[in-house]
Amino acid sequence: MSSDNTPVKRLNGIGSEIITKIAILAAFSLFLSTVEYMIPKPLPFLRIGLANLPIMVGLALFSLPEYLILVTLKIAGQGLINGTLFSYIFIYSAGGSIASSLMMYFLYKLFHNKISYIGISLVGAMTSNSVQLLLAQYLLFGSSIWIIAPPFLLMGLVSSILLGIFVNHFTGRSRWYSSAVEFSGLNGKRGRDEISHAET
Amino acid sequence: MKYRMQKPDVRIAAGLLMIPAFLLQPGLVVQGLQVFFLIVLAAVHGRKIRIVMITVVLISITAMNMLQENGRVLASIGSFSITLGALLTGLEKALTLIGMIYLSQYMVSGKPRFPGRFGQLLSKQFLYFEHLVTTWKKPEKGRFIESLDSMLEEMEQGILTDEEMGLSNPPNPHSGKADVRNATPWDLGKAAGIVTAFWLGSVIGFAGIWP
Amino acid sequence: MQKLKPLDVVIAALAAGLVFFLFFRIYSTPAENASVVIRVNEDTWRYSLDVDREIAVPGPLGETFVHIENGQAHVEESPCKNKFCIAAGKINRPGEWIVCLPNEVFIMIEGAMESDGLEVDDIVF
Repeated sequence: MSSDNTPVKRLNGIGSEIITKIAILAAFSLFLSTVEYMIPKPLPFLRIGLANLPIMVGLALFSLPEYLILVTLKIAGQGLINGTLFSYIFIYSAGGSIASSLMMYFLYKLFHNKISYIGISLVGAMTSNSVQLLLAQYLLFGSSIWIIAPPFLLMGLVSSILLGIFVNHFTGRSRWYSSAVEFSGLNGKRGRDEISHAET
Repeated sequence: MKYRMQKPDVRIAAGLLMIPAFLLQPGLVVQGLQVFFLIVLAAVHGRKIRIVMITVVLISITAMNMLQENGRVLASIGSFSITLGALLTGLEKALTLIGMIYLSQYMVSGKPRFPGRFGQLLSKQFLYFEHLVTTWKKPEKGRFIESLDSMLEEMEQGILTDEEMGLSNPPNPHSGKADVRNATPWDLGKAAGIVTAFWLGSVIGFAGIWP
Repeated sequence: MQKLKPLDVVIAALAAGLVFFLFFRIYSTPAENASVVIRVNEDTWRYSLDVDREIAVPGPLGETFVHIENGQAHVEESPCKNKFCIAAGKINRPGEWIVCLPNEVFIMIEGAMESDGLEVDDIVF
């Protein structure tokens, strides 16, 4: 099954294994935002951003085009479920998600030995929040939006660290993840290193 | 090959036709009526009306815009003044956002299918999503990661048959084959009626009859 | 499980630094954005000095045109005879003012350092 695991063939066919993995993670992301919605929170606007876990998990598994398909599926899926696909709430989520996932992707590719998911999650959250603030300034609120910028970014800082810690645990303990890393062959060496570390 | 519009596409087309009438609307009163129309439209098509969300959006956006003073002072509280221009700008932005949200809710209420490979991928994603939502059980304490992981493994092992994934018979939204999802004249007529009503109302605003 | 790595600490420090800088920057100078207050008799208009715009102020003689540009306000045109208000030039600091007595238009900058020494009505009439 992994014999046709070449960059060209990986994406071929809706039933191919890599496409399946992308769809599973994209569905997982939608599912986690539903879970997060159900978890009781002290304040309604506090969120950890669990839906970004699959996006971070995908970093080690996919090439850039595959990764972007995953991100697009997540954005489109959320737009469809929340019904905001054709409104400009969608511009916020799309803008924030695309900018942050590209940042996370390049950060991961460049420094994956020196960074854990805590740092990646932090950079992702900061990027996404800043892009959303800029969009909010131009689309809705005017420059007075910057009055809420400090607490908004602070919440993002705290929640993204929590999410990063969770992803660190998840990638260490998930058997699905370790087999997927092995299958992906993208970070072959690193993947195996990580798994052997996890076992010890 | 006769092209037949599918049922969900009718709503998307109707929505797209309504967008200019909504976004180009200069009058605040008519815009308010349009928003009301769109909320009712979304509700009739099975979407939830979230009063709290509407209120929060309305108040927060208006309040934020009020900080940028612009125009005649209506009232002052301490050093803070409510100015007419800022109030109108804020209300307009808030109404635009709320209206677009509910217009969008209406547009996706028919569960549209997207054409091509991306569409197939999206349906695959939703099949997995439905599986996750329906099989999810509350995990024991401290077993959250394990229970998520086992769900992932289960899906990887192929919970979906080829047929479920539409692989044997890939959905082709533009095939001429009769489909239960194809739009009936009634669907088209209803959508045309909605678009016409919406535009007629908006013309009142364009003509400047109402502020 | 993945452990905390060096770059995590660097990024966390940078992000925390950025957030605290923003807290300091945004909240320590609360009323930095001054406003232009225009009064004609009992009516008051207020405009943010941050946004460029042209305002036509209706007075007894006609419309006095006030421009806000690059954080400064000045009278561009006035129906009065002496045009002192145009000659007054640009104002931008809290407490500064321009008055057009013939057209009864009073323009003043209000902001954090606003001084209460001047009574508005005393100047207009």
